[in-house]
Amino acid sequence: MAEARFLAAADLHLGRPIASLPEALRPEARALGPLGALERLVELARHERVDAVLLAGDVVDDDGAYFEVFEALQQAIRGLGNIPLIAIAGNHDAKILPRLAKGMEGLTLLGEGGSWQTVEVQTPLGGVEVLGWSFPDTHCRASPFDRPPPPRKNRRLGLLHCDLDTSASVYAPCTSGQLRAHAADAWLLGHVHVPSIGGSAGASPAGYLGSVCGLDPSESGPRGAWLVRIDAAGASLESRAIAPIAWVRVDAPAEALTAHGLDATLHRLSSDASVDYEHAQAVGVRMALVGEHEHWQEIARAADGLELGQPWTHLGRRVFLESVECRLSAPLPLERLAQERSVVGRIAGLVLELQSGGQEGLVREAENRFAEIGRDRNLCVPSLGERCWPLPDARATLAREARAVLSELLAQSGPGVG
Amino acid sequence: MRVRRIEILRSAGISPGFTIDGFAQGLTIVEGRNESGKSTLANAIRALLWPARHAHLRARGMFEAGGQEFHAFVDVHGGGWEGNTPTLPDESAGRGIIVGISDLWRDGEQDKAIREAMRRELQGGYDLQSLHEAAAPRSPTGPMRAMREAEANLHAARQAARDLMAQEASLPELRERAGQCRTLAARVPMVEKALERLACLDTLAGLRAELASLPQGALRIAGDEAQRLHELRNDIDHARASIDSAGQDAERLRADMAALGLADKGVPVGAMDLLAKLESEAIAIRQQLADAAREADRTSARAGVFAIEARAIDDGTLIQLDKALASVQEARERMLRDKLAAERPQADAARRWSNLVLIAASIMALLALVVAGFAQAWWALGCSALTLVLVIMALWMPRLFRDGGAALLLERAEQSEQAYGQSLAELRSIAGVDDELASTLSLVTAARRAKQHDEALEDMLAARANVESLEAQLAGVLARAESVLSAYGPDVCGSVDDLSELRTNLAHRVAEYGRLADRIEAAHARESQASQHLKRTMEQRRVLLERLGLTEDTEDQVHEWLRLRSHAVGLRDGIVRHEAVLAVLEAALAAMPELLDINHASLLTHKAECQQASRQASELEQRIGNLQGQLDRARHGADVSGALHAYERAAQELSKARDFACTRVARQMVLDQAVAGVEHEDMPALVRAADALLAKFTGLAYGLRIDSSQTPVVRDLRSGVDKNYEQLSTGTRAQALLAMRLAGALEAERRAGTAPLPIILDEPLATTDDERFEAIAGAMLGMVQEGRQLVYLTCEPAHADRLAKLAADQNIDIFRIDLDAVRNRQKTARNPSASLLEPKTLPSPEGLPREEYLHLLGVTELEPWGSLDAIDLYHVLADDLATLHTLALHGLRTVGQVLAQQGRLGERFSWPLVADAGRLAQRVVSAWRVGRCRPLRSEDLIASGAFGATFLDGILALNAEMGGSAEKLLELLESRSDERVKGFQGRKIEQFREHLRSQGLLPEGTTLDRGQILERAVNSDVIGCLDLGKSLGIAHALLSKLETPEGRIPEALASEGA
Repeated sequence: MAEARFLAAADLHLGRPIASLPEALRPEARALGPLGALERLVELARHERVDAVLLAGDVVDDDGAYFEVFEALQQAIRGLGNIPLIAIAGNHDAKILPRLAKGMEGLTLLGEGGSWQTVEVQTPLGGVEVLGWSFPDTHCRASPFDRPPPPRKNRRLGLLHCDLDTSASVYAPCTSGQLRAHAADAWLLGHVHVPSIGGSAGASPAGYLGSVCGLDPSESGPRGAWLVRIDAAGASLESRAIAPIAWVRVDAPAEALTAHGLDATLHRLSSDASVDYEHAQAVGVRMALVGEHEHWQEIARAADGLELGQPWTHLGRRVFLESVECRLSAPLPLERLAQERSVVGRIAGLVLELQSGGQEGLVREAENRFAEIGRDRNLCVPSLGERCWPLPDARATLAREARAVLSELLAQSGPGVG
Repeated sequence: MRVRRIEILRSAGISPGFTIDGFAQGLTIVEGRNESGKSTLANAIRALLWPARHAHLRARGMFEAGGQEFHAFVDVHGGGWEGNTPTLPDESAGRGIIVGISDLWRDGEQDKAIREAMRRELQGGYDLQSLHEAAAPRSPTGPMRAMREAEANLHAARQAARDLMAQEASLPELRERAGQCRTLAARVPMVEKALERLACLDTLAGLRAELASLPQGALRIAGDEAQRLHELRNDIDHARASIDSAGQDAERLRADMAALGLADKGVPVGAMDLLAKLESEAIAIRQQLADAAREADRTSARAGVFAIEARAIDDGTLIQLDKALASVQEARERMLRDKLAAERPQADAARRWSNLVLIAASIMALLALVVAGFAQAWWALGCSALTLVLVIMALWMPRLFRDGGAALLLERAEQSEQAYGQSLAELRSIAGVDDELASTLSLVTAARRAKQHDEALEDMLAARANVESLEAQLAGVLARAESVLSAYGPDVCGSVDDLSELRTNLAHRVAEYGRLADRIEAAHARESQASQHLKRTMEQRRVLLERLGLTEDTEDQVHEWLRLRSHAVGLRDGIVRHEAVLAVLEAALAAMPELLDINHASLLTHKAECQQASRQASELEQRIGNLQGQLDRARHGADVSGALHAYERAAQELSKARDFACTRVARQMVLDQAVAGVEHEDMPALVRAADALLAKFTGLAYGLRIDSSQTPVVRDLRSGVDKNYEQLSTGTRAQALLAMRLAGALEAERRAGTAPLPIILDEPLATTDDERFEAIAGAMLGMVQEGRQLVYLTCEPAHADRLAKLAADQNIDIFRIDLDAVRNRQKTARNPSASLLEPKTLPSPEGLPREEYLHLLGVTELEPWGSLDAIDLYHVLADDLATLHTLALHGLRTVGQVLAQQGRLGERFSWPLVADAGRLAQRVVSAWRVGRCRPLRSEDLIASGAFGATFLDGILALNAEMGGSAEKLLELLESRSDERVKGFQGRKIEQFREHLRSQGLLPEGTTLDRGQILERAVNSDVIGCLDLGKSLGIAHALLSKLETPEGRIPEALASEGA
């Protein structure tokens, strides 16, 4: 049965270094980062014998990476051979990608300057048109669909870098309705690094492809490219995890922890978690110690003393602890403590209320104060493109701190007058 | 428990043995003026119950508890404490039950400890404060600074990359320009060659001109002409001398030749040969002649010998004799041989046969033994017999042989002897002598000698004839020789020796002649040779002179020419060399022929242009290289990626700091939430006890509460307003402190489970007004009624009376002790009871110089950063010494005291004005402080905890150098530009910064100018009773003092300083 095969990816961010990469892996930074991911992408495209490789924006992270990326892209084009490389420019590479496309053969840029453009790719299924729209500038408040794309003449794949269903965004906001209104066999989106593409039964797939590799520990989970198949029944997508580095969040349950053997336990848990990432050369683990533990303070101290970022090898992969967050608390009989007419009783009650969704006033106040801190000239964290560092969740923080305070109070020697 | 008796054994100002006895069960009032020993008594009770160091104290005490007496002795210097006491609470209770006036005038460590205990009590025994403090909000600047720095770096890197992109486009043009410049620069060597060529041409022209100016002769000569002429001259002279010498030699040799006496042509060779031959012949003849003479002599002698013995025997006889003699000799020899043979052979044969027989006998004997061994007796016997026979044969064998052989041989010997005898007889018969053999032999011999004599005579005659012949030959030879010699001299040749001598002499002369002839010929040859050489040399010299154009007369010019010739040679060499260089240069310049036609100036200009192009090419190439390097680095992402990485790191760190700040805020909110709802009834016992006591002491006017920051505050129960200690009046503060102390002591007492302790009050109510006094006294007496002993020490007889009256009203047992009486001293003068404060001795300002009065008053400097309450009233009332004096008489020296005594000073002076002036002063100072900070002190640096021992000294010194400026010090720390802070950690700087901020030691906001300060501090809403002009006057005076450090010093202090 004839089918068209495409390999789609987004948010390569070539030129961006991997954040939180430990010093020990710094010599392998190139192979573990977006450049390494690009090489894997090329390899996968050749292996899958695809008809074209599609990149949904933010191919390049920064104008300053022009030189670094130029070589890498040329090498990729050479590696692809006859496989066309079709890309659109995102907010990160609105200026640099057109320049790169002009300077090298084999890279087809669609929709330069914020216009819709199609290119037809010959496949065993016949011609498939690829529709694309590129960012005209770093920011774009207008929806790409303000100027409608050309009518569909054939099977069509849509490539778009946009902020979906976020009307006030400065990154080409558009809506799911607009995507549905302008039908395509699949809408392959870039910009949001968390993959969310899929399609309900009978509907064309539409959504974010996600970043090709986790650029920082927050981009956890499997990352890579998507194999897009188009046949008579329509388009279908299959995930192909190719990210050279994977970031994993692991919750270490309190019952599995001891202060003495914490290091070994966390290593074991990390190694176990890394097993699911066969494709990765390195796996960074963001560990959280959760639950109640009688010796929570000792474990917290032991966690503070852990040496992070020292990789070890497990099943051929380099595994390392990126961070260890201790959220342990003492075993707290909250209901019983809440009965006490004391500070402890009040805090225990507070924890229970926070857990049950109460104390809305307190939570609002905390949110306001967090926002105030976020505006503090000394603590205001600037966003880096679409990357931002959101404020911590007020309710969770209050509950966590209340538990911590409760644990610390109970750990004190007890009442007494000095 | 109660005090029974106290004896002061030693204390400063107290006579030894000072004893107070008779303490009541209920109230004991100890009266005494100042320095009468009241405080000593209180201290002694404390030291006896809770031994502690107390200067110069030695005391003994008796106590009673539960019907039992306890005794204690304390001697601080003598070794401590001994005795026994009932069970007591800890020492903190001692500070609670023994309260002096000084304890209530200041907020001491004990009071703070009690307040802390209250706070913990309030919080159920938990230390929320430490958690609260640990969660104090922070706004660290480090992460943001790092973030900004990383952002700037990223921006710079991006900008650099953009610039690089722009520059990349210019690379081809740069390369082309560099190539052009390099091409032009490559002409520099050729231009230099062209310049060199021009210089070479100039040099050549100069050389040629100079050479042309030299004499021709100097150019012609080759340099060795003078030497050559000289040598030729010498050769000519030498040749001439040789010719002369050779001629003379030839002449002398010819004379020598003539002296030899030979013919002109010498002696022919044939003559000399002939002479030699003749001489040889003569010598040979002479030899033969000698031999012949000797032979003649010998034959003559032999003939003489044989003549004596010879006789006449005929020849036939002689022949026969010989034959006979030979036969005789032969026979004799045969006879001797046979005789010898007859002796020897028989013995040998016998011995051989004997030996053989013996061997056979031995064999047989052996065989006999063997046979006997085999018991063959017959055979053995036979063998033995045979052996015996053989032995016998052996013994007889020699005899047998000797007898048989010898006979045969002897017979032969006898035959030989007979033959010999026959031959002898035959000889004799022939010789005719038969008598004996000897005679016969002699006869034979004589015959032979006669024959020999004849032969000798014949030989002698022959020899003589030979001699004569030889002599004749010799004479002939000599004659011939003499004839030859006669041609060369008159000498006679008479003998061979003469001949030899003459011939030898002649040979010598001939040889000499030849030698001389050779020498003459050599001399002639030399002469001829010298002549030829002379001729040749003269010709050479002539030719040379001719070639030089000189004659013998002008020959000397050659020396001058030679002197110039070396110069000419140098010139010629230079010309040749330059011509060669020129050829090389022109060959090199063939590639750029246009350079051959350019003059020197143009060439220099062109060279400068080319050199400039070379520099430009270098610069361009360097630019290209740098650009290429930057491009390579950029291609590896070294700049932007690194900066981006650093930026993300910084952002992450900043987000962590922000999240941490949020966490702290959340924690604080939790803590606030936890304590905010603590109700009064939740307050613990200690707080409740202090609250109850304070309420009693103040007649229910005040109560004790804990504020939101967990600090005990005094609540005005009528208005509901909470006041901290600084806001309380002196009396209320004393009441609150007394209430807290007593509550603390009672709590300690309760915890220790001891009997009620006595309460000793050392004039704590001296500053209390009557109403409060009664309230406090009532409360205390209530405690007495509950069984507690109360000792009240006072110098106020009125207080003692009032207390005694109150106690009497409650039927409390009272005992009054007059310390003066006890010490047998005059009773102390009463202090003015109407005054709450003891008036101080102070002369009136009237009649005193201002400075002297201020000095006596003890005014203090205006401290901009000190407590606002501590502002000396002088700085407010500098123009109103009368009011200042009045206030001083009542012990009021500071603004805070005035404000604290609000309402108690009556109408004696214009109180509202003073209070308003004080407030104004505080507002002015507060406003002036905005945007300013006090200079950092050493204790600030130490208290920050940021500086360890390594850095502390250096930091303190730096702080002094910076004048206490926190900003400058921080700047220096961050730059680490000073050696003393090298290696100081960044996180410690942050810690220090946080400390400064938390302590308000970092200026925030901008400073206010004077107008703004006045606007804020002096307005109609706040100045109260003061008129605006006076307010402005006070404010300006204060600001002047604040702005000028010297102005803060009062005149009295200034004059002291001067």
